[in-house]
Amino acid sequence: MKSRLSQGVVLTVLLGFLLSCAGHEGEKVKIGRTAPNFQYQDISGNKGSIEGLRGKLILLRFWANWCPYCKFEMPRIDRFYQLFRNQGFEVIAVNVGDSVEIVEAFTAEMNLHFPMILDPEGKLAQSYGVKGIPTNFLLDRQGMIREIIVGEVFTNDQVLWDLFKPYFSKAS
Amino acid sequence: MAFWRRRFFISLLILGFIGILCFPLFRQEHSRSAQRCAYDGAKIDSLYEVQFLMKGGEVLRFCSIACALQALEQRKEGIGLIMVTDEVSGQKVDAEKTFFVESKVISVPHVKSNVHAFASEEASQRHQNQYQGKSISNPFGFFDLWREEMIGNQRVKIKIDRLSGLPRIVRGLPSVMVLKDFDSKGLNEQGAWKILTTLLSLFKHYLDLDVQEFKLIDMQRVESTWYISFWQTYGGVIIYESSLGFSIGPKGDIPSIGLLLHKAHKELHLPTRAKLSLKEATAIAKAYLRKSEPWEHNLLAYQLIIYPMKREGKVDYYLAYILNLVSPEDRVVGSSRIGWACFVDAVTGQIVDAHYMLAIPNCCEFISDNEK
Repeated sequence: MKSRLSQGVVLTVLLGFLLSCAGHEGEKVKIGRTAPNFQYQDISGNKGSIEGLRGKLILLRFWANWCPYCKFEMPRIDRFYQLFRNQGFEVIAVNVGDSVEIVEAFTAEMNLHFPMILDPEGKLAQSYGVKGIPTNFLLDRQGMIREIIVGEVFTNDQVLWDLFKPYFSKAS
Repeated sequence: MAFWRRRFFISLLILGFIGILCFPLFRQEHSRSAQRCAYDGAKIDSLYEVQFLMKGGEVLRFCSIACALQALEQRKEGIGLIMVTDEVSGQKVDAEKTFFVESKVISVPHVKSNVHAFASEEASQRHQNQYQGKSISNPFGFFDLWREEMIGNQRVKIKIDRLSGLPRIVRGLPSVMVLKDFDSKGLNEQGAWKILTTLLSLFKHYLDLDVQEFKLIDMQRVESTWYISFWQTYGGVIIYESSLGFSIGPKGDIPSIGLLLHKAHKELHLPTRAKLSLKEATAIAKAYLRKSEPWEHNLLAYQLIIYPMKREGKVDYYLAYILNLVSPEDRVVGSSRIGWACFVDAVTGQIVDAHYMLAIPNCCEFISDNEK
């Protein structure tokens, strides 16, 4: 009985610790704070990091293949990316939970041009405090989080333009 | 004196027993160290071993990444999977999921192998810092397994799937195909099927699939570009996560095709009708989950599918129920886990596979502040 009780106490403490850690991760990722850095290798084998993209305006987008809204928005984001990539606009699409085969096929199907990276266990999504999919983080040229947008919002080009326009005009 | 002699014999007997017990271990160790490299015949140190798991089931072992790379060219077509050894744990890991580092450290002296494999990015970073190394991409180069050729009157690049031998990506340079007199506004479902028929006939050499094996998933238009995708089926049953999809620009150009296909009709001999009822399959899945999670799970969604299960360089197929089972217990704050996807063989009732779902399928999940 005593050992069960002590086990329970240990588990509770451990759970509390884990939850506090989870809470801490979420707290770090807020509008106005610098986006946590991570290194990546995209599905084409190209490597990079968030810090390595300083000076660019970044749309960091978490998505999954099972999410229809995530997929519907992709062509529009890709068109926008192709229009503005020469002005320092970068998109990093993070797929949560799917295999490389699925992501590769989807990328070819949609003819997407931006880097696609894999987060098979959702660890990166969790470290960014992602609680719904799609979630988009807009990072300014200093790597600061300026917007966090959850759900389907890019229903037309105007929405994208309205969102990014202020940051393009601040281009250095 | 007799007492000491008896003790001596008993000790000898015990030592003999220990020797007999340990013999298989020595033998195993001996046989392990006796593994020879399939390229240069050198003894293999298991910490640097590379394995080619061939499609026919054969395993080729190499003493180093350097030797395996030498053998790669001749063996490329038959390789199902390449496993390298994580230098930290000694575990075998898929080369495509490995972090490779080139450093001053020579791991296998006789071939001067200076490429190191790590399962984790942290370990790779540590090695780089410690030994002035640099991160390199997968030297087995599957990222670049492309073929370039003329299909019809278009130049295309084709990425071949190692397991199925079928194309996974077709990229046109600049187009895979251009449809004549394409009317973007007038495209309908019938038109989508016509385009699929044309594509299959164009790639018959690679695909050899019948248009009747497909089922339309979706066709949608964004501005003036169409996005069309199909499932692959076997006997009318959808093959799980299969697809053939493409986009068509306003001028009728198809820049690329994404494919997740199987040689189903050519190679499979599966029933297409379940022997188990949904109720039976659900009971099996719930009993399976209860072993590790003693609370109740509820059936959220299900589908009868052909489930391709990948195992060490080959794919086994099952007629299976995919059952999405959820429980309020699964909703833990800070976790995106929402339940289980269980795959139950619809003929034998065996659990084929089970994994966490990261969110409810076909539904975008939001955890509001009120729910926390």
